[in-house]
Amino acid sequence: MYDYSCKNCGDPNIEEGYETNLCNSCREKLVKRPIPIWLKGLGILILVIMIYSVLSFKGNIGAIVSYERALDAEKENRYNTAELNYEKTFEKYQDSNLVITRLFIAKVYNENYEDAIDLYDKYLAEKEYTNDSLFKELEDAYEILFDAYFLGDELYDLATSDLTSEDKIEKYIKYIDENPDVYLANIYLGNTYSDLGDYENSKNSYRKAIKLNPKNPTGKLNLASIYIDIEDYENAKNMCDSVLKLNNESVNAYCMLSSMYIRKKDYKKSLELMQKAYSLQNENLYVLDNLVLSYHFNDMEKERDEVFAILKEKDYEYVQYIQDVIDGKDDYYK
Amino acid sequence: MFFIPGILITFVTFPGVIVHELAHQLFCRIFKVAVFEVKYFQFSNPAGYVIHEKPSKQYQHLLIAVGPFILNSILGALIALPAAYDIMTFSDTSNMLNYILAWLGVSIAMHSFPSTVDAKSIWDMLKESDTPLYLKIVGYPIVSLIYLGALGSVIWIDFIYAIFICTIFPKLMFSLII
Repeated sequence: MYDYSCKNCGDPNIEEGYETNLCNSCREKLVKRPIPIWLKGLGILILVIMIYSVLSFKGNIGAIVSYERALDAEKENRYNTAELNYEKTFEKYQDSNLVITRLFIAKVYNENYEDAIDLYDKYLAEKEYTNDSLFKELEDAYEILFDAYFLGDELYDLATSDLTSEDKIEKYIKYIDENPDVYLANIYLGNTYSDLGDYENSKNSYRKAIKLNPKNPTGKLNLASIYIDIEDYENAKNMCDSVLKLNNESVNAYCMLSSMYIRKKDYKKSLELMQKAYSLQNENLYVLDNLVLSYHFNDMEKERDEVFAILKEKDYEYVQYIQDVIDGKDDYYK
Repeated sequence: MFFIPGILITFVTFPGVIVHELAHQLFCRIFKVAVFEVKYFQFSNPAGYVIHEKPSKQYQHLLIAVGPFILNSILGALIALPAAYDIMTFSDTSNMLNYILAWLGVSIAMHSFPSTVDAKSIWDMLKESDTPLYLKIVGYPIVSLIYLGALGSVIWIDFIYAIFICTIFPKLMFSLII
């Protein structure tokens, strides 16, 4: 005979619709089978740990968001944004090799060489790496920094000597013959040729430097400057664009382009570029310098004077040059 | 790859076993399925179990069986979240709590996979004549995956899954915020 009573207590009033015959009360008890106290205690302990961690994690969220933003910016070659965001992450994670390395790389590609060197000397010089790809990126960035910044005694003495330009050229050429891979030697030679108005040799020197390290923007921007001087604006733009390809937030490239557009009398375009540069680095004196000029040629005297006042306050070394341009005494932009 | 006795792994990751059985129990509670016995953890095989009545609806049976996959994965990811970036991305070893959270999160996520016993019960349910077609379409692959997971545990597939959940989930979460 089939038993229709509750399997648990024998009550004949079973709840319909279920595989097991149980009365309502027994079903309730078995469905809501109590969780043991020890397990509840464990759950509370885990909850307490989690709450504590979430509260301390809350402080980390900003740093993590900045890190992810920096990574995204790096993928798009926006190194100014990457640097700013890595700085924020670094404030929280100062012991993280990964963060410090990424910050260093961003600073180099953003042409912030002095800060990059400080960072390297303080945190990276003695580090060991197990991550090969990160180490390779660090090496590449260090190579750019080394080329852009480290002179060596002989080259430094030559660069800072009181020799005439002609004598310097001779010595630079000799130095380069003995040290053909020194990037800055070619840059300085190019600069010296440029001072003498020898644009052809200047261009050649910069081209050699670029060949030595195509990722270093210095040679490209210097070459762009020569192209602007000789009014070859197409090549000047190409050079600046190739710098922007490496770092599309390069304020130096924007400043160079702005200078070119002023020469071309396209003042509106110049202003557009300088406003972009200003939005990226509003305390960079070189940016403010070019912004003053841009405002000036766009007849925005109030804005010009406001920014110019900042440069004067900071004792910017080219204040007199800017004043000469404003007063019409300089021929470069005529 | 190296061999460690399963019982030792289970002992080290016991929170995962407890949450696994709790997940079965909670899903039974949701569907008003009577639970006759629960062993959250023991030092034998199986390390834990839940004995419940046969659910009145087949989809409930499926969900009760795969409940641990849902609950263990989510809970493991959430618990490991504060530690995930600190340890796994930034190698910040200053906060010891991070290690506790990482161990908890990974332990719980490691026991996400339903057991072969769960797979067997799903299989029996799917073979019934009145099981709807959509459940068979969903259920048979799930059973295959459970058996694959059980085999894969020899090569630490459950551990790999746990690490994946505890590191990828935070990244996904932050990519939504940014």
